[in-house]
Parts: sequence; C-alpha cells; structure tokens
Amino acid sequence: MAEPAGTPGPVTTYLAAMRMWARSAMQYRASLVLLMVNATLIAGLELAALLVVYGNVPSLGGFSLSEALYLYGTAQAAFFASDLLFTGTEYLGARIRMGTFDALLVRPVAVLPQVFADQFTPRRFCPLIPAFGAMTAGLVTAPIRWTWLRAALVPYTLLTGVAVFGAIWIFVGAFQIMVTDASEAMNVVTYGGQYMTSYPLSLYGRNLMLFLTFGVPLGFVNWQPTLYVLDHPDPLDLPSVFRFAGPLFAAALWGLALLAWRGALRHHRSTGS
Amino acid sequence: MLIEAERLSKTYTLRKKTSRLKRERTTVEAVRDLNLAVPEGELLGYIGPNGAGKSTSIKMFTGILSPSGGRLRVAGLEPIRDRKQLARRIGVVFGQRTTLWWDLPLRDSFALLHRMYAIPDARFRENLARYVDLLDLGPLLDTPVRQLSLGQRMRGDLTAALLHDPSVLYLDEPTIGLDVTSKMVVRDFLAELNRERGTTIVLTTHDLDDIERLCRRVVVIDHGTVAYDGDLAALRARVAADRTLVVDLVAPGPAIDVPGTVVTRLDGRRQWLAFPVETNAAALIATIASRYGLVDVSIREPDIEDVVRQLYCR
Repeated sequence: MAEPAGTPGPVTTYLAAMRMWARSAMQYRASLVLLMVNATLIAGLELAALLVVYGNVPSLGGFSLSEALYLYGTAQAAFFASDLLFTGTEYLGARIRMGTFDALLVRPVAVLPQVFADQFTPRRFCPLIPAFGAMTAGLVTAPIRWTWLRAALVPYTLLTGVAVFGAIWIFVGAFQIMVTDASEAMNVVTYGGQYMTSYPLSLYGRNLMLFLTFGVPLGFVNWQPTLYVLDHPDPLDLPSVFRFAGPLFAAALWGLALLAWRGALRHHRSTGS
Repeated sequence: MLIEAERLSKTYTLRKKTSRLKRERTTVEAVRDLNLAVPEGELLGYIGPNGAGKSTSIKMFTGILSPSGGRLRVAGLEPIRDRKQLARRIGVVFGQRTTLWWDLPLRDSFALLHRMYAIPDARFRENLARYVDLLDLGPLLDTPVRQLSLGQRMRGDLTAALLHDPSVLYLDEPTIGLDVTSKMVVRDFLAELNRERGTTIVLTTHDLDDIERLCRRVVVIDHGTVAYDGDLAALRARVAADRTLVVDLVAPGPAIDVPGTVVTRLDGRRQWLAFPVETNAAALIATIASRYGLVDVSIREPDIEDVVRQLYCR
C-alpha cells in the first residue's frame, strides 16, 4: 500500500511538531520572557568567567583571549544549536514513564522527528546570543591570516559541531529508552562534554587530549578545525587531514546513532518500557 | 476479518535484583495463546481484571508492542512492520492520557492531525464539522485544552482519533471519571459511529453500563488469554453475580441472619450482604428492617469486576 500524497516526511513532521510546542510555550508570555532573560544571563555569566580568567593571565595553553573567545564561542554555539534542534530526546524517559510515548507511536509519521521536537521552547535560542557574541569578538580581534579556506572553516566548524552533538542527542534518546530514568547519567556526557570543549584542549594534559580527540567525538567539534583557522600548531602533531575529517566522522556517528535508536525502539517494542 | 490473532503471545523477561550481585531472570507471560477474530463493524467489549493482559494485547493490535509469538493481522497489515500504514487505519483513545496539545486551543490539535495524517482538505472539513456537531464541540474549539473539563476533553480526544476515518477505534476507559450526562453523550456517539459509519470499536472498560448499553459481543481476558467470548446475556447467565446490600445498624451486632443472603463483610455497625440478582430487594430490606434496628441501606449492583471474578471462582 503506497502512502497517500502529502504524507509528511521527517522534516515536515519535525517542523509541525516544533511549531506546536513553540506556540504552547508562547501561551505563557511573561514567564517565557523571564526565562529567556534568565537563560541569556546565565550563558553570559559563563562568558564573563572566561574574561575574568584572562584578566589575570595573558594566555592559557598558548591561546590568547581572542583565540579563546573564538574557541569558546564556536563550541557553545554548536552545542546550543544542537540543543535547540535535537534536545527533545532528553524528555523521552519522562514520556515513557507517563505512558505518553505510545501516542507518538500510533501516528503515521516517523517517531524520531516527533521526539526531537518534544518540549521545544524559544528559550533555547538565548544561550546562542553570548555564544555567537564571543565567536564574533574572537574572529574580529584575533590575528587571523584570512584565506577562503579559513573563512569557509568557520561555518564548517559550527555545522560539524551541530551534527556531532545531534548524533549524541540520538544516543541520549536511545539510552533513555533502554534505561528509562537515566536522564541524569547522560548529562555527564552532554553537558560535561560541552564544558570541556569550551576550553583549550591542551589545558587538560596529553592523555586526556588523546581521549577527547579519539575516544570522545567532541574533539572534532571545534578543536581540529580551529587550530587551522587560528594557525596554531597541533600539540599532538596529528596529520593535518584530521582537521577536515569532521564530516566523515559526523556521518559515521549519525549512522551508529540511528542504529542505536532502531535497536532501542525494538527493545521498547519487546518490553513496553 | 479486521483483527485476526492466532495463538498470540507476549512474554516479558524481568530482571529482578535479588542481592547486590545476583540478578534473577523471570519470565512473565502477559498474553498467551490468545485467539481473537473481530469482523468489520463489530462493537466489542474487551474486559478483564487489571493485569490480565488487556492493555498488552491492545498494544500489540496497535503496533506499539511486538508479539513474542503467534500470528497477528490488523486490517490485513502486520502491526509492527507496517506501523505507519496501520496508523492510518486505526484510531486510539488512551482514556485519561490525552493526546491533545495541552496549552493550545482544541482547533490547533485538529489542524496538526490534518497535516500528520495528510487528510484531504474537503474530507477534513466535513469530518470536523460532523464530529463538532455530534459532540457539541462548537463553542469549545478555541478553548485551550487545559481549560476543558474531563468530559469535554474526552469529546475532543474522540474527534482527534476519528478525523482520518479509521476502520477501527480502540478506546481505553473512555467514560472513566465522567459525569452521567457526559457518559451518555459518549455512549450515544459511539453507538451512532458504529451504526452509521460501520466503524469497528474495541472498548476496554470497567463500567458494566458501557458494556450493557453498547456491546453486542464481550471478550473477557484473564491470565493473558480469552476466557469468554460471546454475548453479554450469556455471560450474565453463566455467572449470575450477586448484588450487595450494605446496611448500617443502630448498634454493632452479630451477622444478620436472613434466608437467601450471606454476610460477606462485617465492620462495626456496617454489614455487607450478598443476595442473588433475582431476589426482590425491597422485600429483603423490609424483612431486615422488621428484625434489626436499621439506620441506612444502599445497594451495589455487580460490576464487571464481580462478574469476571465470579467467572474464575467457579
């Protein structure tokens, strides 16, 4: 039986569900405004902390303030853009516990886009303001020798970052299905990782750097391409090809994440929890 | 046949922590060897005690859970494999868990379903007008769902489940918590839907009235399998559940001794007496009143739980 014309694809489903959630959030306008101011301030405070640190030392791990601002800005922007788009997977555990996940399974559209859009709120735009602010400030003030390649690597860094973090959100969803109330355990991976990539990697020591570059995908988010943009030598002396391996890595991670998601759904179907 | 289940089964494996290191594996047969054939146009009462396998089997029929064994076809489809196609053929009302958007007007939830199910515009408008009229939702369309009463919300959920013209509608406790008027509206609506549109309805409920007023056929599920499949009158005749007379006496005393009744519970001044359905309740109360100091009485009709329980006590 063919699907009738006009059946929404994943993107349409996602946008339609996201719009409903956004409009739901906007029903409480005063509360939303307060929460948005709050979210912007909190993200700004973290940026202020970085500035305070640099007020005391001229450089950290060989990175000047401008360079650190760029590094911090891209990592934050990539993470919060992925948060904006995909973080609905985090609410899956609560949904399963309340039994409302079933409602998503009896609709004639893909499940994952509905999950991505879950509980969407415009508040998630807020941390992007300081993030892009820091990134722009870094780009303007850092002594970058601009080439076309370097310019192209800026959006490239962001997109790869969003893609890699997006795959991690899918893993979060799959994990939530497997261990319904593991919301807290997964925060260590996502929010903790976001914190680590915000600071120059060489701060953390060689072993940890290796771990982050290879063991944890987050190194790809901004470390390697940023080294190129800022014309920094790699403390690890990895072949320069790694600076451009991000998309391959992101694609592979998405493949794995989608497999994990399918496996988790299959598990859910066989256990109901 | 719209729903065809042959030797359908569902086994859960539970891992229970017995000590710090040891984990015990136990398997639970939630559904076993369930055989069911529901033809098009049926209005089926699907009942049984809690934990009997009702919701597990419904979840398999709707493509939420995969069976562990047996054969299952719904509308000619295999529920898990053909999940999206099946979704267009079925409507599900989850009782107390609404699928409507809580903070948005009712109208918006319907508009979203219009898109998700890709319902042709003309058909959507026609169906919406029809259900809004039948369920008297007109004045409520622009009200946020959170402000609706339970009964109004149930009417909204019913409409939401039907906008895409499903062949079969699954209802889980659609009248629970509703007042008498709302219950009547829902029941009349379901009866008409089944009669006029030929929509097959599978109704899970603990309310015997729902079954009595609506269902020609009753399937009782117990211990994961079909314990009874037939009409309600035959079920009643087979079980002949007792009614219960609850009496409050002036002072605590020994169990009331009246022929044809059995005291099933005694708590201070209050006593519970079971008596057969055919006994004249008025005469029974008169007899008790003439011999005991009576303060208050009330009669409890046997509910579906009693009927089902009795089916298994025999």
